[in-house]
Amino acid sequence: MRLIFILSLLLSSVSAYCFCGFYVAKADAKLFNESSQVVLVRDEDRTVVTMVNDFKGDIKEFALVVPVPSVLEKEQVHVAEKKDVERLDAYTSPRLVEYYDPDPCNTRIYEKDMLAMSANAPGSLGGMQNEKAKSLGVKIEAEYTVGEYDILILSAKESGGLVTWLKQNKYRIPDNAEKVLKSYINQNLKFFVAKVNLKEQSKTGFTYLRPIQIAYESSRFMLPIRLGTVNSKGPQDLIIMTLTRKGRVETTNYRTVKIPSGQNIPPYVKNDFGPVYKAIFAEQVRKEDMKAVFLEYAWDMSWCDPCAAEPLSADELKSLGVFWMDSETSEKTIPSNRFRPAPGGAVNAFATRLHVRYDAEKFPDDLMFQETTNKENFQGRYVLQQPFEGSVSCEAGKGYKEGLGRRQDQEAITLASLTGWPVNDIRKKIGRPGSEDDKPDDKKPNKWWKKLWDKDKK
Amino acid sequence: MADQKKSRIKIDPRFFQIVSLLTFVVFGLFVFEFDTTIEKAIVSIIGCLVTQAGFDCLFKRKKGNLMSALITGCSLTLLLRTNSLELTFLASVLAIAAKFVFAYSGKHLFNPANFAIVVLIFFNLAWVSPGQWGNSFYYMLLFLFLGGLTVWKSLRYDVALVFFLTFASLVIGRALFVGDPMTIPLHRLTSGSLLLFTFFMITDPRSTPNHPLGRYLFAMLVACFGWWGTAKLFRPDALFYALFIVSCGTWLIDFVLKSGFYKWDQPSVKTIVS
Repeated sequence: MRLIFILSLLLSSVSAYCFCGFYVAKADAKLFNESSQVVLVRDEDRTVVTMVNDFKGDIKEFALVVPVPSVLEKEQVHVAEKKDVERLDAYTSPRLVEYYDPDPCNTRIYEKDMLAMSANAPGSLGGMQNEKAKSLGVKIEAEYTVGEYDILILSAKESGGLVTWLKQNKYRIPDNAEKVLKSYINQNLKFFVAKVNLKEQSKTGFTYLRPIQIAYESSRFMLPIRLGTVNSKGPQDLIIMTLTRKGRVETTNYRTVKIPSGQNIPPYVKNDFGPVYKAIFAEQVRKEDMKAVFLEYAWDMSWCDPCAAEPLSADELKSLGVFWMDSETSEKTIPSNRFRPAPGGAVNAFATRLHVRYDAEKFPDDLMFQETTNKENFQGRYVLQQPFEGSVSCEAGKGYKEGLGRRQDQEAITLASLTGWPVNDIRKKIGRPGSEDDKPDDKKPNKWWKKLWDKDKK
Repeated sequence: MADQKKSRIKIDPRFFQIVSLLTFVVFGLFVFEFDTTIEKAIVSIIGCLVTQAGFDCLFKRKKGNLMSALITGCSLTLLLRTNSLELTFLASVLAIAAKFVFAYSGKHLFNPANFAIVVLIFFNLAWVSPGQWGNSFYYMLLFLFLGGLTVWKSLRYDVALVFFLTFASLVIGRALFVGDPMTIPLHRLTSGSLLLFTFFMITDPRSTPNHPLGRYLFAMLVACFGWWGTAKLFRPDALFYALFIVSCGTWLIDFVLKSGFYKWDQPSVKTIVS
């Protein structure tokens, strides 16, 4: 029995790396379990969707089913390179900035570059065979091979027929999927179904399945997530990276909330950023009752500061689906400062990174988006301030040491607030005094009442 | 004795609207952290007040209308998003100026805030964020309470009711037609943005028809066009455009269904013939 996951039941892997040569840490490979990645490129009604597949099972079992607004021609389907998505993922990931305190007796300011974490996500899986569909009200509107994928575009008159056809072709369809399919059929959506062509796949030389890209024109700017919740055993994560011409993308039927950013957190996080960000994200999800979509990055692609990865070139953006690159000339001015510009000149693209944790109950409706003219830059960014570790013998140094203790306490409190972790656990990690009980006896407050009644209890 | 009547303190209905809108502005800025700033809120409100005072002086109005201008400023703060203080101020000027430029029989053709929103969106100078309130149950109760109180005092609850029932019928009808579970229309109908539009945008007595039947027709048309724009054209700003388009015909409805003139200090469902 072949298994089919429809669109968004994916595992994730995470890596953290620094492009300035400071290797810091590699976060857990499955930092965000059950997550997926999508790149959306949009301008007016034209859309290019890139769906990442990181399927790890038998590729014969792979299949992808996506509702699409129209019958897609072969030229509207493309196989992308995984590295391009990984580049955008790394570029837009939440990041750490590390600063070093100067010698308080000899003030100079140091700044180190950043750490980044990214999540790349695998894809759906399943298997497919062609079958006589007409009697079930299923019509194969188009059939072709693109790259290592055999593609079918299906239309159906009613969901029961479509489910029957899929089951007859040995797909294990969850019972609830029929209701969702019925809704899409009644909205005149078609179904893009992809399977792996083993012969073509062996020619590619790749050991993994490459992302699938589809281009179409539709006034709908949305992502169908309902199919992905049907078979899910719990909340899933979806990371949506959009590239637009005018400005930021946001959801119109759910709140888009900025992830906390700019806070100073304890330096020990440098080696622990993966679990820390996972906890930060989980805490924000909890505070919003898992009803919000979180903004992790929104920035003009012409420049970056700090840069979590090398800026993407115009060619890389074009490979991700930015179709207006050829018609745009580099008339934009690149900021003439120390911030890193995009290679090859200015690019007219704005990147937005949205991260949502969803399930069927909290997100009953598909995600609907709009492109705004909001050009305000935002990034999920956390600051490490490394203390000066040299000897401090001047008068200013005494004040620095006292202030350092207070700052470290505040950093612990901030991290506790961001993650929901007990502040004393964090204090212990950074070697700060925690609760009153952790203090040496001569530092503990005098609990005089203990003497008052202790002898009565004996 | 029988002739004595208890003196009643008459409160202008706009007072309740101002209290409600200011409450929402505070929540929006400090709890929901809208994509705007305190500076833009101040510029929006002051811009409206200054423009109103200027036009009142220009048109030699004996009685200023700063309360309405304050309402417009708060509405723009809640609804309109721009990239600059200059565009925020421009929105205020456009909103207030529209009351004087597009006026007839003592009324204005367009809801002032809505006019500015549509003009700026049309020229890609601004945007609205329909999802900014989310679907929180407790805030929905707050909207219902304050919004309901406002339209009750202004005696324009009929418009709000007709609009919402029409819109809800279309949303639920569509869900039944495509086979969506009821959680989806429920999610769409409990949007904070929709509730604010229902209570504060479409109930403006100065820019809606005078006759009750005219108002019901007005509300139904806005609901229909708004639903069409949302469900078929997938425009998140469809309701604002719908209100703008239908407002263009308000003068015709008033011409056909003649009725009296709404007075803020003597609110009436049927309107008073002055």
